[in-house]
Amino acid sequence: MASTRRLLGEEGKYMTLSKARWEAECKLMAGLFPDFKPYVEESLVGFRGHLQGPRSGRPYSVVLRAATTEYPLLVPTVFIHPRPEPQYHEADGQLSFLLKWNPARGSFARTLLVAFRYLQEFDRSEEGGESK
Amino acid sequence: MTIDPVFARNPREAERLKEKHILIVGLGSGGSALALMAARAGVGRFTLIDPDELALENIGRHMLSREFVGQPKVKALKRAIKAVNPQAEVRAIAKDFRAVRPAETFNGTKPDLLIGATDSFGCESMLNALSLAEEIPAIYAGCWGEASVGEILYVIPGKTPCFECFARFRKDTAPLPADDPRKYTDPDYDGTRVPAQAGLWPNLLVICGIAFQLILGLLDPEGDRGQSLIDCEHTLWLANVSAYDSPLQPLAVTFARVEKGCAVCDESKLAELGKELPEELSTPTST
Repeated sequence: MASTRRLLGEEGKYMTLSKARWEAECKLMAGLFPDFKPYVEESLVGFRGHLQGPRSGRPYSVVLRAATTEYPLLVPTVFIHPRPEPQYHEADGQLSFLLKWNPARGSFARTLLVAFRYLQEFDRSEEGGESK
Repeated sequence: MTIDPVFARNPREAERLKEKHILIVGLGSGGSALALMAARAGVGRFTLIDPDELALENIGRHMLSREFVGQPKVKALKRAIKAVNPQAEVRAIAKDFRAVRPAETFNGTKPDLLIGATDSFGCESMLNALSLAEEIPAIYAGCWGEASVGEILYVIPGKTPCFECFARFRKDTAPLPADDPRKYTDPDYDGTRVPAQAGLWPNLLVICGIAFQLILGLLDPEGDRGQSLIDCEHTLWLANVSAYDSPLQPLAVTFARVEKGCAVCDESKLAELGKELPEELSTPTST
């Protein structure tokens, strides 16, 4: 286990995401959200998929992203497109949120809860009101 | 062999500690006190990591004084350590620990002990990962409730619970800021930092004094302190300094056990990742 963690990523930092952890994350997501697909791009990993707006019914593209040199120590970032509101996004477009994060219990699946709750709060029907 | 007269009152410790290397993350009230305790005990090598500059509001409970306000804490502490022991080797890294590379951290010599004295859960998690990867013992010291209670956890990789084994409790109860506009504008903003609380310096020094006994034990496991204090079972020490309504005895240490094994230090626990997911995630609505 330790030897896996000693691998250095592109920035000269530790690869904190072990192969076993990534496989466990993929298994968890496949069980709960089979439409969300894992991706690995250089030093970034995550999942991509869509969530349906609870009021508008429109599909929102959701991307969960983490650096292999930081996950699971730090919480993944979440991107949602299109934006149902303009306020809660940081300069790079990631959703700004606070999630009490514990590397031993947190997961990409848990982070998706942020996107769920965000859409529950801000998704609106075309007319601007709540649909029945 | 002659010994520096500075260590005339603790020659035995100084002799055993002069080749020891400690790495301290966080040089606030706790980290600065531990650094200078180590210098006076005779520790010979230091790596200090903290991105902040000393501010006036730090002075009330910091080892540094007004003359250093505006300077990086690590550089000012380096001077303070050198003022005690000019022979000490001190590396001062004025950066956020989350941005420090391992090679930069070690600079060729692996520390004997990692000390977490930071208010950032993110940095503590990074330090825990470093401890596990390099199999270096670590100790985490902090206080709560306006410094009325201290909490000290030591970790010996492979033998004891790791920081995350314990932090599953602590992170759920810590008073993290609900919202801070800096997170929209500052790319380096650390949302896992616990806001500064009130608390008296002497309370912090009591907690640091206790933590330092463990530091000595971890640095010298074959010595008296190592043999007496480090049992790998009671790895969590709770020190009640002035929480008089607490069930913990005032001015005493209570030892506690932490359950060993979590998804960070034990891959057999990875299957537990989904066990505590909120109910709404068990009824997926993805398209």
